[in-house]
Amino acid sequence: MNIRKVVVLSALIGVLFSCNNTNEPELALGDYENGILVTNEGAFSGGTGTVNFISNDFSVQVEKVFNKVNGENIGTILQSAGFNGDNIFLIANVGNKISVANRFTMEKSTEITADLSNPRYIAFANGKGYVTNWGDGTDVEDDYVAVINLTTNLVESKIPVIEGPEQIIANGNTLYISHKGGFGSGNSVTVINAVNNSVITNLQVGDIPDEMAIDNSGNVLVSCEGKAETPWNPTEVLGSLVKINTTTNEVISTINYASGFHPGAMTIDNQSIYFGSSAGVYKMSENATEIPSSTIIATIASAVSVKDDKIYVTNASDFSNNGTLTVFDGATNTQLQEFTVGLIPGKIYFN
Amino acid sequence: MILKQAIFTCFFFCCITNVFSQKDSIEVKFSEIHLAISKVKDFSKGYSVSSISDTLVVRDIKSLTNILRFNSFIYFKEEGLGMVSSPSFRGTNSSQTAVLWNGININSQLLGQVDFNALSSNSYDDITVRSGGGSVLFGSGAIGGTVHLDNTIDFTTQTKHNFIGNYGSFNTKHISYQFKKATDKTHINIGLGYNASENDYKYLKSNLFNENGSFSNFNADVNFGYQFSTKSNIKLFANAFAADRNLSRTLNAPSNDSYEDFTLRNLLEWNYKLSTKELLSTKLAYLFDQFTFFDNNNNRALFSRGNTKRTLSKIDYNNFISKKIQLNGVLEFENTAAIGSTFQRQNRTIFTTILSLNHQLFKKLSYGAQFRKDYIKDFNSPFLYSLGLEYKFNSTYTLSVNTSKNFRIPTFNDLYWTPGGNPDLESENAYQFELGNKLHFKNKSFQFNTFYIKTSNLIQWLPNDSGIWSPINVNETENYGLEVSYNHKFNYGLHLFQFNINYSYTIAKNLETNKQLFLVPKHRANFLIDYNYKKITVFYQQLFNDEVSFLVDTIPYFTVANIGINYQIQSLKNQPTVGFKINNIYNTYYQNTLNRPMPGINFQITTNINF
Repeated sequence: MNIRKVVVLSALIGVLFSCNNTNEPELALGDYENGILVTNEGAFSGGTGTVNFISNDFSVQVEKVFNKVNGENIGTILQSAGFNGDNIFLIANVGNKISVANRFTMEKSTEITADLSNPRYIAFANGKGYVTNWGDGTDVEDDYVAVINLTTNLVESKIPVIEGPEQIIANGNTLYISHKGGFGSGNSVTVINAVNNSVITNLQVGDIPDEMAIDNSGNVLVSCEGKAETPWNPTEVLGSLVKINTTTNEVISTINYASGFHPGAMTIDNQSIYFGSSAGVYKMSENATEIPSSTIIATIASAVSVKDDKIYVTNASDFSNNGTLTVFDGATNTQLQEFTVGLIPGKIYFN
Repeated sequence: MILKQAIFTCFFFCCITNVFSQKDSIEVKFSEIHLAISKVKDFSKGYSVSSISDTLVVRDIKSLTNILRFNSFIYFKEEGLGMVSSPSFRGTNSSQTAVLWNGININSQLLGQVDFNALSSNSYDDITVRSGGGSVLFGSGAIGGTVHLDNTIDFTTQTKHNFIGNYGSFNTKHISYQFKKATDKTHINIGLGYNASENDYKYLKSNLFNENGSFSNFNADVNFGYQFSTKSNIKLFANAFAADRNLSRTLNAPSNDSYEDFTLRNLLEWNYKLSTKELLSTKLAYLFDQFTFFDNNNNRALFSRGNTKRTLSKIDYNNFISKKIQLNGVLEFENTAAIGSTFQRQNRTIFTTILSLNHQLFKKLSYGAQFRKDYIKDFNSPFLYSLGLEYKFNSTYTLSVNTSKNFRIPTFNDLYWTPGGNPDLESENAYQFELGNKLHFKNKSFQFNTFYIKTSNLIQWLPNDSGIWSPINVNETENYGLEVSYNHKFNYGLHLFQFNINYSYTIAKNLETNKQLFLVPKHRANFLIDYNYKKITVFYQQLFNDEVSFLVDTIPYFTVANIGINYQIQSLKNQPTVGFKINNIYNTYYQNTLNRPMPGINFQITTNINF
């Protein structure tokens, strides 16, 4: 309770403070510049996703940023956000809608609803937006990548892909899509040429590939979660970290995770790879050949992002109340600050 | 298997003995006991039971949700008009209200709850709401209360036809026909009903409308009885129901989902008087439930589906040992097979034993005691009890007390859903205590009940370490509150008035967080005023529902009211009754569940003919 009061108070002070400083010479691009954005999925049944803003100096924090600025909701289950120039693309999965807004002011410019079906993630290449779509949950053959014309903000074509395309990243004009599997389970990465919107190849990786990142040597890293041992899955499938050479588009190495290690989050910063799981945050060098067995931070880490030597971690707590964003010092791994964010925080972005 | 054989042997043995003993004894005095024992009416000492009158049912015949919402303590979480509607009684969750069809618990074996918009509304002669835990008699889920949907098969000579036709806003239609013919030997009742609605109402305060909200359903009922003699009869109840619903959008997401329900319920009952004091009732039932979910209602080739097949056999033995003591023993054997897109074929067999006693201890003091134990393979089912006491101070005032232990066993989805099902779940256990005061005068009655329920081992679905939602026995909750109801009838000459009001105050909190549970209104009230003059009836009903929280949101409180007029046209043949009803007369913007607005003002024309 006290923490919450302090937070509210500091937010209030922050607002007053920023009001007093309107005469500063440097022109701000918007109220939500120089800070952290956290996307919250929101309630599945009838709810809406929200975005929290926290300034880099932690002095200002605002909840439901998009909703407040625009007087409207993002839509049900804010899956992810993507950035292109000054624009933020907020993807509502169940809401079947992408809201396009200025990333610094959060003022909405348009929305994309046509030709989307269960949209998940977005990447940008060759001047276009690429959105992964699951299609109908029971249909394994209607999954696609929607190609968005960024001038008209309309879907101009669809590239059919196999079941369950999840995350998408661009390396120049080549796109990499992890097939987590939608309502089933996947084990491959599709590579697309954004110049002619054709599928180059589909590479087999470990089970449940999800998060991807590009390392210092220009390889695409794919974190495959594997499958934990459960009543419905009696045999554990180990997770793995798969490295793809972006020149040849071939798998060049696979490092298996230890039994019981099934991280849902992975990111790269400054030649270090970070994993997030329900046990905490793990850190390893890009060149290491083994996954660390112990955490550097022992706290539930649904999402992990690292920037300027700070580690940001979200926790959805009990999934029915607001979750948290916790910031740790990257050198000492000690907690700097904890913030209450929205319902089921998803991803962390930097503005 | 051996158990199964034993039960069936036992069952058939009883049948055979019945046949022989029937031949043996010739003279049986009928006057003392009836050939039917109603568990609700006869074994509810210390509990509050209220009947929903036929008039109320006919007025709202298209929706069982609406009938009960405006006339009982039950709060409904209806996901948009006509969509999935789950009950909440005394702050308990959707799976903790049991619904019984002619004495058979019909809660979904997959979901645990009953969707009140997937039940035919015009199939029953009798709708009764019983407050408080009743797991001993009514099985799993009877924690907050029970709703009883019964058909009456009697042997009083009559021939009746009834036709109801309604038409209203959003192209909403109801047509039903009932035929009843009985003699002192036979009884037959056939019912047919059809409901359909475009349901495309506008969302007030928004430019959206209830797209993808249309529904239709159809029911057919056959109830048949044959009286062999004054001491033996056979009854057959059969009900078929099919519903096709699109699932409404919300304010935050469109929808193109669709859902089909199909249920078949059959019950064969043989009642037999063993002696002047003993009654044996043997029951066989077969129930089939199936749902089909379509991700995209334009592509019905793709769907997920699940069904359950249940067979029940039951022996119910009643002994009126004396005028003051009644004893009842039940042996029940139930087998459920479930199969679905999301899990392999699964089977569950339950063997149940129940013992009940009613005892008039003194002239003013009576009590009832009931005990139950279920036997399920690989599952430890708790021993359940219920004790109720009634003290009649005088002809107006009755004090009642009851306490019970009730349970809910995990559903097939809880146990076997892939992914997520948890086969190690235990049953939810609830302890209840209740104090009731009843004042009964000539034209009015007043009731004041307070209750306390403590539930442990609540099953809740939460994401596990791999982010997959999986159920665990996690929470402990405490519910307490009070229920007040008042009924008054009076008249000025030919002007008849009736007034009913129900008010409830409910605190339901999670004992760990000490917060009010989601979707539990603290205050809730409904009232009804009926005015009748000769052939004209006018009624006004209103509901107040307090704000409720749901996750991080709050659904605001609302007041919604309906008004209606009915007129019986005497000049026409068969004297049909025609009516006009205005729903939500104040055009209130309200939601029952988050971001699913309900319709504004809307209209309905009704006709009802008996011939």
